[in-house]
Amino acid sequence: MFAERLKNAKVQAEPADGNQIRPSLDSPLLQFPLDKAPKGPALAWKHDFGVLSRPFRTGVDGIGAVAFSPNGQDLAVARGDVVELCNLRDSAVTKTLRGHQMRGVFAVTFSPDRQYLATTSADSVVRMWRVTTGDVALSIARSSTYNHANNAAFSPDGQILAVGDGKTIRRWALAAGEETKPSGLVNYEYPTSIHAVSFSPDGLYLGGWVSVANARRIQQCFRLRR
Amino acid sequence: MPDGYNNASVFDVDTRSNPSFARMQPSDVLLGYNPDGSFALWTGNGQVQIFRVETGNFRSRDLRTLGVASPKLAQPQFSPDAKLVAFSCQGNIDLGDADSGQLLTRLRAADGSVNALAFSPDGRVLASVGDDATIRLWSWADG
Repeated sequence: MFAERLKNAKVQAEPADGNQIRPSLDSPLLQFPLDKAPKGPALAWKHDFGVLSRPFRTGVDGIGAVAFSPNGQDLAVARGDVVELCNLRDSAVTKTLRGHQMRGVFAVTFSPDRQYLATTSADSVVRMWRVTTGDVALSIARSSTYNHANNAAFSPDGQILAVGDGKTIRRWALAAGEETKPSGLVNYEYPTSIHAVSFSPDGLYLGGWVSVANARRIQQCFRLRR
Repeated sequence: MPDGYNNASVFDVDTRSNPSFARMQPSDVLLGYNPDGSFALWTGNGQVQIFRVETGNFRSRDLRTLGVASPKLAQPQFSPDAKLVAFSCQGNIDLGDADSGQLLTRLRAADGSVNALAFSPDGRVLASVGDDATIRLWSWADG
């Protein structure tokens, strides 16, 4: 039954004002001056998988992650273990990406060239999907059993996918499809599991943040070799 | 771990020097960079703050004091032009001026918590998603 509901999943346009407006980036959304907060958003889509939405503190029942594609035309939306690609121009779900388990997709990230979508999940597997076909281009099983709330990051030039795995940051050279051997301080072992990784926008730095048992946290960034 | 846990550090791989350094409080979390990498955003002690990467100095003005600055909540985001910072707490989205640190507006965004925020690449649209299974797209007038 649940699978059947998923099969019929769709995104319906449901504007805040009740009028039927199809979301489009060609026509302006409802706009407001920044100093005057609107009563509601320009557009609100009810993302209905056929499952009753209810407040859920961990976020696994609601929508847990969202990302725009680099050209602004698509949204990637994660709910439970399903990731959907929604086209803003015609408000249609163009791809439904299934394969993650345990209902918890934490983060979705497009590659800079929009060819790939990287997703991380409570199932400890990082998947990189081909956006056009919806198939899995790269599946990375993280060795650490603790990979909660972890993300993946593409380098700004799209050449590297970085993933936190336990106490280390692992990197994949996408052109070769191979894991890059750590060099220099990037091989550094963090004091405890990494929660998130990010590149600086110029691509010079790669960093991760962690928390340790006494709830202290640290961010350390490493300068990458050109 | 040159300086203990309570520091935000930037290391240079070539020189292994530590040009950037800032004292962090135990609950602080660094959340991201602005588009040119010169500033970083973090939460800590119930506040959202901006951190200058090169010098390690804080900007003195906090954006806002959050009731609970939990990393479980939606991560604060810089707009692509780095003029705005969007962050959420308890179902609201707050838009702050990244330069002055002033709160510009508050949007009632979700029933339940907001789980994620994303600016469109052109900075004209902010998407919010949350526990109420609704995708909301926000836009605002320039100037």
